[in-house]
Amino acid sequence: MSVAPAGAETAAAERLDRRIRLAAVLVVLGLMFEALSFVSLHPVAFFAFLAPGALLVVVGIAIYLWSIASVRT
Amino acid sequence: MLSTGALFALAVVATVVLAALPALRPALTRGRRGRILAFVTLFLLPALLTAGGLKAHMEQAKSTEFCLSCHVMEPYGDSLWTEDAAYLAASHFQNRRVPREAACYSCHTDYTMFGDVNAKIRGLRHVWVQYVSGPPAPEEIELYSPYRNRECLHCHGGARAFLENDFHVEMLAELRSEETSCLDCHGDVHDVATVGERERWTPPGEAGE
Repeated sequence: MSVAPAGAETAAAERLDRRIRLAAVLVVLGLMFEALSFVSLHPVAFFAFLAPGALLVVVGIAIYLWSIASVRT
Repeated sequence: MLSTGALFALAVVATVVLAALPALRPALTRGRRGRILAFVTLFLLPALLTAGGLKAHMEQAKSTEFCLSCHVMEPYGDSLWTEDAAYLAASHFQNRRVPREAACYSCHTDYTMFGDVNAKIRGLRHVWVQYVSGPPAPEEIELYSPYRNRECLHCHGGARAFLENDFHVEMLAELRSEETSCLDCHGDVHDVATVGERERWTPPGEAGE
């Protein structure tokens, strides 16, 4: 089994951190838009739930899943 | 007892707070507990909340209030209160043959997001028309395709009053195949062009409110 150099490991960990942070920010923003969309009973509120709300959450989840799937141990 | 909306809001707030942890300190997710936290707050809870939120929005979209929230639909809402039993929508609404809180959806079950892909695309176009290109006059609005008997037969099809009417029984095959429309005989539905000129029904006890 080959062992990655310490510098490469640190870089990979930092890259993972950046992706996790991005995913978390997108999920938080998306959930906030989703919650705000319930303030009004109107077709526009429904669209606000879908985009940006659900869209940001889905992209955030995708980035999170991609980031953990692409981790090399 | 908390309502569904309040529970949803609480769950969202909790998830946002928890998901903010990996946003502020992503290094937390390197440990086992942190990985579980990230999985729950960045995948499990957001996915569940988004699915639940979508379902809640779809349910809300069935409400009469939702349909009438666009200005162009207001005359259609007014037509439900017309003081004339000949108008089909008004007589259904006033006699509670359809639930008042979901009156539009009861008879238009395939409208926009509840219909097929084409109906969903039309729903998107309606928002564009409402806010960008400008909506047509309410009386110029028409259904995209002939009103389907399915919507009527869903309730009336097996009803005693319907089945004991010889004419209906005779026509049943034609009605089911959409060869003849229910509206051929029961044609006065909304008639929004003259709704402002017609008398409005006020339920007893609500006069002057």
